Amino acid sequence: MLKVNNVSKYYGSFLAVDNLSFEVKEGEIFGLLGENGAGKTTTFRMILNLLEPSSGSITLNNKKIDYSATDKIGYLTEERSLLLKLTVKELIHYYASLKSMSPDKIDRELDYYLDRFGIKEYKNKKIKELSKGNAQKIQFISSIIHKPKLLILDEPFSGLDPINTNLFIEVIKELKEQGTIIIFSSHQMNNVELFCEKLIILSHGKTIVSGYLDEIKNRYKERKIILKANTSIKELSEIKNINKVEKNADHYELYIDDEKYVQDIFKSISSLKNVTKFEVVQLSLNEIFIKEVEKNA
Amino acid sequence: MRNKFWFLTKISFFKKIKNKTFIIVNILLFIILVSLTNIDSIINFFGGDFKKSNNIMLVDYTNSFYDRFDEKMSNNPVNTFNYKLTRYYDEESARKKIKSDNDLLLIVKDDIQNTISVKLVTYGYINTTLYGTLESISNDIKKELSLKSLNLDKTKLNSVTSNIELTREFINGKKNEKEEKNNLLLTLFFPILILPFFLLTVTVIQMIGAEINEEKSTRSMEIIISNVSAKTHFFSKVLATNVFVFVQTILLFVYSSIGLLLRPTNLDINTLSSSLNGVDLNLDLSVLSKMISAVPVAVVLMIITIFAYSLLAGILASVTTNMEDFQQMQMPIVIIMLISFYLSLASAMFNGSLFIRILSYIPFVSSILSPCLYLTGVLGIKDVIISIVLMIIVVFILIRYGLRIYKNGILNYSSNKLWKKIFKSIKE
Repeated sequence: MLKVNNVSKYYGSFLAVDNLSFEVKEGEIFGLLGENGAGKTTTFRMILNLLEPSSGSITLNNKKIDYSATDKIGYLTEERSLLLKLTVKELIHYYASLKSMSPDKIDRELDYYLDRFGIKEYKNKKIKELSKGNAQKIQFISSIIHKPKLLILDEPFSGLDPINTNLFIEVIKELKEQGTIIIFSSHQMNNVELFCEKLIILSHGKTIVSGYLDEIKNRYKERKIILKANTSIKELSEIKNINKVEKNADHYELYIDDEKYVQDIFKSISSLKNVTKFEVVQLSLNEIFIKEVEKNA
Repeated sequence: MRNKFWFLTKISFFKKIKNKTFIIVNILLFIILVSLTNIDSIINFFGGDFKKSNNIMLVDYTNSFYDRFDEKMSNNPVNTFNYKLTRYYDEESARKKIKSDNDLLLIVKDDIQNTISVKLVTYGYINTTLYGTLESISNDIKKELSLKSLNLDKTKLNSVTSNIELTREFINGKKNEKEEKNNLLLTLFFPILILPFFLLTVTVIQMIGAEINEEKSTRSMEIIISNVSAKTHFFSKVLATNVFVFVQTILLFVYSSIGLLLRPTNLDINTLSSSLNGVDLNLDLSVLSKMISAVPVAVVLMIITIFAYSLLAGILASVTTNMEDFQQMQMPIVIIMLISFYLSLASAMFNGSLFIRILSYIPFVSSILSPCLYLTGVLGIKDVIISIVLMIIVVFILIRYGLRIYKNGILNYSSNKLWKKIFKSIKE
């Protein structure tokens, strides 16, 4: 289990992370979210022992993380962290050797993952010759090749198309099944919602939201109604208890403060022509994120 | 962690060795060094010839110039060329013999105002050494003839024309004239000998800077540092670069040795010296023994200094985010190196100056200046050892405080106020 206990980090007098606490068990995927500069990278660096916390403690299986534990950790950085002049094979050998893997094992695992990600032919190509998406695949392979116990993924889907994103998700889910502790950061909230059970939203280093995803969503009584009908924004805005109306390509989104108003609104809407869809949904993680970050700005 | 240190060192070293630039540079260095050590043979091959005789023809209308000229040419100490001297009585037939740049005709006539006048007729341009020799000998003969016209007897004439005899006396009984002359010679030689050290140090600085910058700018530093400590990473870079420099130094010696082995067996040191613009390579044994005694201390001081330079370069590279910033940061280092290089050149002029002596103890400057002053006798072995001790203290300080800067610097991508970043890291 990874335990982050009351961790704070100061850069001079600037407080980058303020009293952060969370726990992630084996086989759990934990989302660490926040706007740019919220303290995510600083937190990752403290977990990786790159930075010393100003206060608090971080432990992996009840042991302080030091350089004896780094072979068990995989890290995918937000920005590309690849040596451009090396070939794919050389780079993976370099990074995996730093994880104390034997050359034979590296070759075996590399062939497997290159095949799985459909880039076998790039094995001897230089990194600088790869596309953004393929470079991201190599970076991902370098972070998981040693089958880490703790995997930190900072924006793993950056530069990937939906097909490759799904490929990554498959592998991440497999690692979760194998009991890997996964900490995940992304600005793409739909991806976070897909497989993060627990999360924290940071703003200016402070935890503003934390808990299991379902719990967090249930905390918000606000609801969104997705409506497909022949109507207009003006007509919908006149309905009582609707706070905001947004028109999308083929539907309207109506925002209400509480689920209790749904029945009344449904009655009003039933008088409209050609109603083909009326769906009440909870706020998305993206909406919760924006709402909370704006509230704490 | 120990294995990872050796792994990083090995990766860093072989990366340099396998680099195309290294291979190309070494091919060029091999060609240059072998060529330099065989420069005379190469010049001969392309048509130049150190042994090719100059055909000097002389028409002497004064009847008093030829014999003197012949004698002075034979005794000329800076005779770096072969010649054949022939006297002609007919100017026209001598002129007809001028067919190449090796044929020279001197026409000497009486001159009322200047005693004699000399005209030099050649096919084209001649080399400056030969021109200077002919001019100098002609001047000497002109003076002799002028004095002779005053009807001075031979003894007086000799006393006027001969060189002054400057003898030396030393109050300090340990000093002697031979050593004094040797010291002067060594002062001239040392800057040439330290040139490779200067170039290798620049290489060390550049290599460490480039490698750390590459890892930092590609953000691969974060991955590496998440696996090994900053200290391990730092020392692996320093060690790999120093080993690389050591290998490069050995290779330079090997190339020079191959060049010497390829020389024709009848090596004529004077011929080689003539190709080096008249530098006399006939060092006497006392000079050589002093040079040999200076080698261990100089090598120790230089190794420690290169190590210190590599530490400094690594520390400075860690706070920069691109090569341009690093180039700016390394400017002070290069200036220090240049200052020490020029001070060693100038040390002969200011021999014994207290200012130069004080500078010779200053770390970094000492690596070049201190052995130079030791060779010239200004410093003793104790002074050089003091310089070594001071340099070791600097290395200790660089490790102690530099590691803090390095650890903070390698993960800091801000390119503002680099010096402020450095001082802030030291305080932490």
